[in-house]
Amino acid sequence: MLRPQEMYKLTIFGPKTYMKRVIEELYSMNVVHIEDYSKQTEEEVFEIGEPYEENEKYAELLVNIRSLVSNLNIEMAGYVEPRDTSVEAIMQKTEPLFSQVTSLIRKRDYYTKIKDFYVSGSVKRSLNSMKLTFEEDVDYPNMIHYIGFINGDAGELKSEVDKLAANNVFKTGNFEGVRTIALFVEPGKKDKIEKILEDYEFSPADNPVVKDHYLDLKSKPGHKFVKLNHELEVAEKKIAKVESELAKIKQDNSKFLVEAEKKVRMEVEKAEAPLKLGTTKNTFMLKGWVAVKNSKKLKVNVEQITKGKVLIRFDKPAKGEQVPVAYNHPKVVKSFEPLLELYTRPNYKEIDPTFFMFLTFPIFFGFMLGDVGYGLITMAIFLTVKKKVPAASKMMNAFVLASISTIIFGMVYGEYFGLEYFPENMGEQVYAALPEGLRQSFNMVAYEHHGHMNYPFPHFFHRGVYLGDLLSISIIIGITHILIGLIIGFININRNHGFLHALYEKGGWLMIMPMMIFILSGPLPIITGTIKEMLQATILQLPIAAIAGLFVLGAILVVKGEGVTGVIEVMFFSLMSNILSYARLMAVGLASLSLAVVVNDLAGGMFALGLVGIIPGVLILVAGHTINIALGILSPFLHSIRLHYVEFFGKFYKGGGKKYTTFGYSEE
Amino acid sequence: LDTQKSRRKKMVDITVGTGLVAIGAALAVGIGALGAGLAMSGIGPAAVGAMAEKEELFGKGLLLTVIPESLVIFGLVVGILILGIATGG
Repeated sequence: MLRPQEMYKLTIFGPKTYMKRVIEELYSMNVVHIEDYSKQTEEEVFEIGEPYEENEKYAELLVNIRSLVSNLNIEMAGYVEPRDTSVEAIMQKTEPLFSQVTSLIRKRDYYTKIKDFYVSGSVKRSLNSMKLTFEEDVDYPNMIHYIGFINGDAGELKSEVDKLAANNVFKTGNFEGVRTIALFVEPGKKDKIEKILEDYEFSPADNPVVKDHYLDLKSKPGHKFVKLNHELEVAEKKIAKVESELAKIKQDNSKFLVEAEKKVRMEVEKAEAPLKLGTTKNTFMLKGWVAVKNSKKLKVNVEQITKGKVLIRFDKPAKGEQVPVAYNHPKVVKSFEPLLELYTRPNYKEIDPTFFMFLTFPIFFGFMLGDVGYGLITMAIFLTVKKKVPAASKMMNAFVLASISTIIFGMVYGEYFGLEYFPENMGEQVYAALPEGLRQSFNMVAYEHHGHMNYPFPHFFHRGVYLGDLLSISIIIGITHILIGLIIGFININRNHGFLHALYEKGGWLMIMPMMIFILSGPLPIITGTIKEMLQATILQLPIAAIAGLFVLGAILVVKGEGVTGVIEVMFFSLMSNILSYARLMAVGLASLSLAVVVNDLAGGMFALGLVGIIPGVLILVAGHTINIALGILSPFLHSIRLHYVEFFGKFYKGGGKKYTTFGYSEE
Repeated sequence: LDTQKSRRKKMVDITVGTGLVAIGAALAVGIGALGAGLAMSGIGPAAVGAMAEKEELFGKGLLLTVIPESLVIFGLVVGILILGIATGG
């Protein structure tokens, strides 16, 4: 739990004829992290492998499937089984689908552009793109004309028209990606010409002259024949038709496409795998990493499919080698991995601090927010987010734990939405109903305050009153946290560089610590009350000379271990500022409590006005607590994470580990 | 614990001296906060800029941005100390 999974360095070497089978097996086992082969020196005999022949075909198919998925707006979320057919079968089904959808999309784009021309009034301008000139030898008045837009190739259209009616005038232009045409033909072949034009989705331009004079024409006899925006309506209808066809295709094929995407993606990944390997004419070599716990099974499986014709070798990682890091946590602790990942992944050689974050992050969060009501609401929020956003689900588990801790601390502080006391009459009754002993043990002692009786909720500790104790507890938490950090640092360095280094770098700081505690509880009265008494009974029993001696010795060790940085750190009491930083545990919590109390007081004032005050009172309560909860999620989170990243990790954590990515199918 | 409760009651009668102490404590926190704000105003934009280039830098950016926060906390601690001295704690 405190270390990443133990890894073996893996080498597989064998004849090329087995390469495909080995790749297939490794892919389905999904336990090996393959290191990309790269040629270091010219003498090396291995070359980077070539992908399978079919790779290109598969890759193209994958691109087509993905374009279908995105054009049809198909959702890819959730787990699906890969399509249980051959890639060839998928290809056969995808090809016609792809051309159908592509042409529908083109049609939709075409009509959408035409619609835009009408809406933005650029039809007249679009026709200018053709630069029409009228030749004198053409009998225009006796020809029929088609002026407008087509979806397709103008050259092909012209050759088709030429075959039917050689005596024509054909002009064409291009306006904002749409082909414009002006076609003049003799009236004889009208029907056939129009049939061809239909194939090209010809859309006549609404006569701009009619449009400009529409109002004049409307008052004349026969105005019923003048239709304004007729072509716009046609375009809109066509768009709607295409959309409904696309929707039907989506409905019929989305399952197939999602499954096919997965299957083909897997095939492409396998087909590209040789790019990671080293190969010669007849052999292949694979280098990578495998977790020790999976190594046995890997060896058995690969030997079985290759009948032992392939060499498999496991080696312990050499010193200084970059070993990929796979976490090794039980499920509850796993939810804190994203918080660590946000900073950096631990490296293979050091202690993985996720478990410590699991212990302390919820405590810090709860200590700061500490309110039963807020805890319940934030828990509801986190559970909702977890359900709605599957990607964040792991991290939300961590936050739910933080909410639970908030509720527990809320009970300790006796805070419910910032309320700490029963209403006066109710309190009297409740107090009367409870036996004295029970009330005593939950600190339920009524007292007078400004002429009112206060009946506190059951609690152990009112943090708004005992500021000094709250501060002392925060500081003690800080000292403990930093001590844990220093000890982990000591273990890390001891393991990797030996005891002496560990003593210089971390042991020195551990020796400085008693001095800090002495200063904080004496000359600088930060730690007071019970906590101070506890310290005086234990660590402060040491004579001052011993504490000072340890301090000097520690300082010397630190300076020896860390050099110039050490000098600066000792001189400016960096350890002291680290410890004092934990005062934020008190400060952030008090700020949130004070805000809640202010909101409640304001609302209470409103309620006291009687009926008029109810609506503003409720509004103040809702708005105030909403803001406070939003802040109550953000700031305890940031401060808690900061205490881990800066104060805690600063004592031992290096990070920079390489992610262990297995060769095989992944949902990402 | 009892002394603190009674201390809270005593705070009601305010003298000029108490007022000055309160102002002193407020200045400690307030000026500390100003300093933290000034420092963060330089670090924040740089961190966001770095994050825009490389998203993985979020953690490091956050870390660098919150480092000056300690200034306010020290201000707060000093404020509490001042109040403590004033009330004889």
